[in-house]
Amino acid sequence: MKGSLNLAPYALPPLEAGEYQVTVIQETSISNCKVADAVMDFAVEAEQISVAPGQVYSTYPPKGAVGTYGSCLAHLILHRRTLPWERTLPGAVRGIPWVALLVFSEDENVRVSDADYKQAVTPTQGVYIPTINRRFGSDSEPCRFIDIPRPLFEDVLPDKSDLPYLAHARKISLDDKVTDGQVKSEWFSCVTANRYPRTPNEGEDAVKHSAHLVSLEGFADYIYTADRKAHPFCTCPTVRMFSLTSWEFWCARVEFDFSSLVRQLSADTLRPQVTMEQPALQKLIALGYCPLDHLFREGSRSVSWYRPPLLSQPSWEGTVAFCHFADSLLRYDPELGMMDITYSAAWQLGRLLALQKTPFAQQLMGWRLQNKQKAATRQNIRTLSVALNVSSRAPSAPDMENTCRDIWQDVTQAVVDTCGRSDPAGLEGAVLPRFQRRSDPKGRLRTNRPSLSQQELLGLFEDETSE
Amino acid sequence: MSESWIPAQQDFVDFFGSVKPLRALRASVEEEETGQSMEETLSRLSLLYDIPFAYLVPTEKLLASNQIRFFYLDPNWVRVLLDGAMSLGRNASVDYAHDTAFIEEVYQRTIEGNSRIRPLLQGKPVVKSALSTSECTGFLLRSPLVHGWRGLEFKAYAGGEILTALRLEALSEDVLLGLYQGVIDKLELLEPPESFHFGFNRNGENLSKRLRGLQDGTLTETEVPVVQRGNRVVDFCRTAETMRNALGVEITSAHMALEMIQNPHIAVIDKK
Repeated sequence: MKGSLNLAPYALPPLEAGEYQVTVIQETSISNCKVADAVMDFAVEAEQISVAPGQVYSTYPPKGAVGTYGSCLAHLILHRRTLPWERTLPGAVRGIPWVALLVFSEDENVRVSDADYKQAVTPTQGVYIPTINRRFGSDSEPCRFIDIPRPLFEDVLPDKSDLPYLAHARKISLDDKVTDGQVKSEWFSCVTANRYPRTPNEGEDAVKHSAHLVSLEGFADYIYTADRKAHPFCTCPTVRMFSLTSWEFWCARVEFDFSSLVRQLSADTLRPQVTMEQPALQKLIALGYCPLDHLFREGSRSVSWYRPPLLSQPSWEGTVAFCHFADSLLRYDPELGMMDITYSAAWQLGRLLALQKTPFAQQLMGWRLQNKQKAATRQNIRTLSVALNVSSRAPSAPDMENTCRDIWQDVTQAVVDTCGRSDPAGLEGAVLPRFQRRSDPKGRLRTNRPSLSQQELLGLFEDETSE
Repeated sequence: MSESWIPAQQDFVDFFGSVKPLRALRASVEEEETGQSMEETLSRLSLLYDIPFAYLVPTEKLLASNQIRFFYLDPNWVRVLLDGAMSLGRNASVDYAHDTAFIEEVYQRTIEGNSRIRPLLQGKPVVKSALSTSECTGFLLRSPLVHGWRGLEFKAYAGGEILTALRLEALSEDVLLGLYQGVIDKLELLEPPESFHFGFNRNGENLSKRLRGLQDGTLTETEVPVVQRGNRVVDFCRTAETMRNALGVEITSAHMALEMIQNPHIAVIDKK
């Protein structure tokens, strides 16, 4: 198998959760002068008493799964690769996780409570409550905590020598993966349990297990103490821990793992597995058509055939033409007396989906308008260049001017011809005939007459007469 | 003016003939604000995004539980879908003439552009892949695998060549849709590597683990015991020690993960 999985023992955050202070000191050589320090406080926050469900990428065994998990260790994959190392327990070196994954079976009397932070830290008789260094967050923040019987707690709490092995970071490639909107990074962190689930005894079907990602904050003194027996909670019968996130699964004898699920899969092409007596109907069914109720616009009802876009064989139809409206894609088969609404439905669906997307509709309108304007401009230029007898597609200003002069000469010629040479005054208000060019501009020339002074006009006439 | 001001249809087609407007299909100023270009919206549609499931699978009988069904995507269906989407505001004949001039190119561009959607969604750089075929095939998977194994991986092949995935997405809790460029003749399902789990061989109360070579990660013949602390708790520290003795390196949690991970499975579905 090609493909890779990269493993890293830990992924440390640039800054751990906590409070920080930046101090800028400026020293100067000027005597008797001291510049005040600039101080800024800031805090780095991280999850403390709960982890948002969105932060959990996946779990193994899957949530609610039933299967043979007797020889594997549960784990939890978190989106943020640094999460298990964002706090450091007192006494530990960096790179040791501050969380652990504990697995309990249903018969171990672990009590789960959902409450808020204030209730969680309210002293209760016989329960050891860890003290955590909580500087931010409200008392009413909801959280989940578990009360574990002390002997069990002593057994399952990871030993200090085991802790480093219980979390690592993984990097994978997203290339062949199901697209997942929440996954933007190829790195994940993984926290593994240190305890394997119990397989069902004789007579039991399945054993329910719960896995809790617990915070080890407040237990560092116990984990790193030399003499555990001397720890204060040895007087308490139960120990409370914050469960940051948890899930349940069943350990049974039926297999529920990747390979058994894949083995159950039946593969085929997408086609209906029904048989019809009539050959005509059977043919339609084999092509993927489904009979569906059809409510016509005028109110009558019928059954029509619809074929989904997922075909069991390559498309056998020629290209369908683009059209004005959905109804022109309805197809009627006179022999069967029924309609095929496939493409009509698809067209209408496309229209409805587009209507749903306002930005798209705006862009479409803008795009079309822009194109229409561009085309109109070009068309105008084209008409003009034909009218002016300019060959180039975008006539230049001198070209236009020269052509205008040509036209003007033609016009004056026409004027002179019409009005006679002797009476220049007859020009006033005269309706000019269309002049002969390859393409005639419409309307009266007078409106487009280049402005020449009377003097110039007369000058033209004089030239004519003096010849 | 008695003459109609609307020129004949032919003129209109010609009217748009010389314009090259498709550059404008890409981002303009407003599109950057809304985040999605027209081309992207259309490409998404062509990959069946937002299509109600009933339009894809009209009856449940077509896709029962624990089934994987392969299909060819009907290019005509996508064509008319896109035509329908482009039909907004196509009121005057000038609009229709406009669309007639461009829709074929819009369609082609949409189909070419739909390979960009997946990298975009994964936040990866878009690599322009050469379009070998516009044919699109895919599969629908309905199985508990979909929600139980998040990040399931698929590899589709056509004649030994790996195909470009256009879309691989869970449509619901247990239904997954895959679309590929080309005609699939072999599909591999791979366990997601980020979810490889720790496991060991169990013989009664004794646990053991076959070690992996540190060079290539393949299993070796060496088997080490997995030490327990009692009450089903594994003693990682001492297990690491035995591994260190066997492999000759200091064991970190990354080494531990490499050694403890169970061999992943690959399922292969071949076309008959």
